[in-house]
Amino acid sequence: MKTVNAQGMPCPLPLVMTRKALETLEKGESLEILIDSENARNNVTRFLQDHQMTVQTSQDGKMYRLLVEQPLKMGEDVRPEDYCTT
Amino acid sequence: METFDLSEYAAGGGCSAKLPAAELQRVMADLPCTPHPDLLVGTETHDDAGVLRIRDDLALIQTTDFFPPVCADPFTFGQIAATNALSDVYAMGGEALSALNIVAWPAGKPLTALREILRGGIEKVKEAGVVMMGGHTIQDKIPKYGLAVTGTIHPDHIITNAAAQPGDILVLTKPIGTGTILAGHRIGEASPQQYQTVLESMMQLNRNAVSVMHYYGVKCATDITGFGLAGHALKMAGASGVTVQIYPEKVPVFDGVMYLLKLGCIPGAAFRNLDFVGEQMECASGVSYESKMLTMDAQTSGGLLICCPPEHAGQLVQDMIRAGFPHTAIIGDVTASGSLGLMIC
Repeated sequence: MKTVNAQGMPCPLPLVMTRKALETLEKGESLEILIDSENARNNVTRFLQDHQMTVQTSQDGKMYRLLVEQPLKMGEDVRPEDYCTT
Repeated sequence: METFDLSEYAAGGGCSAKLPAAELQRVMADLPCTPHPDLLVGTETHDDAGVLRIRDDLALIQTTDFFPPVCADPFTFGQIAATNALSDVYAMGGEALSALNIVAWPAGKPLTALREILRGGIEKVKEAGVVMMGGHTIQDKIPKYGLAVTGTIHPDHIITNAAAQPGDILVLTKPIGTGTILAGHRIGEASPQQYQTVLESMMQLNRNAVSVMHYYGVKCATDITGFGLAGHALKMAGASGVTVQIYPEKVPVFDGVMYLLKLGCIPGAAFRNLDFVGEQMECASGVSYESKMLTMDAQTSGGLLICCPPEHAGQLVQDMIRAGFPHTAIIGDVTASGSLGLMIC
């Protein structure tokens, strides 16, 4: 299992870290994301669901643990040059 | 002079600080109205400003807008907040007349910074040919700044968000993506040049667009702010009883925005706007997730979304470019009301 510890990270860094982790998953590897902000939890959950992933959430004090047992591997190598308009 | 970096407040700043549109609608739903025969634009259509006729040939436009800082520099923040507040009058086709400051300031923070914010506001008010009449200040934990603005217009020339006609062409006068670049800047992923470009766009008054709209007989427009392109387009569709179609690949976008969105740098306000448009929007299967989220991105001091009769659209775009909005583009069209208010094609 791969773990993203996004506790204390300002938005939208938890989502950026999650997106990055989705690029480097091994086949069959699950993904765990630790977040301590409700907004970040909502946004990351929505992003994962929008990409057809099922998210299980548990809470321990102020920390949320999002678990994706069957994550979708996302494309690698997002390069700034590919998006330059000038 | 003592400096004061406002960036610690910027995470929830600008128009992304708006209450979510869905929540606002719930709050407003059961409140009593104050109907009046001279109230030409009220709260029902969620327009940019209210309009009250005071003579057969004269109506007052009134609006207010304020928010927490969007950037570190107080003078720049003041200019952006004032530009944004004035924009609501221009979106209605009016001429701004007078303004009042609205200020919240934390006790004990350097007053020199507050002075810079106000100086920025006055700078823009002067540029707009508007009279600054005074204002009101309170103590608050988070700084906030904006204006209440009064403008005028001939009642026959009012531009509302409720007059879109099937067949109209949709024109947007500024690129979008301010929310994404501001978020990218906060996490160190946007370049200084990308950030500066967005600041300059947010400081550009929409004033010069007004005469172009009137020249081509535009009756329907709105400015793009916190509810994003999709949210404001949907409000326009609802108020006008039409369906609006947007083609994301035609939408002008700031350099760096699509890269940031792909990276996962999607501000929370974009998700709130996605919740708002919800099932009233359909996204074509070929539209990428990033393009969809681009249309949800909360804008601060954005451009005007204009419904133009098709025979004038090309010329209107050219005149907007000449008027100082070089990225103006046709981004969609209006069709008869279907089952949905907004189509992203």
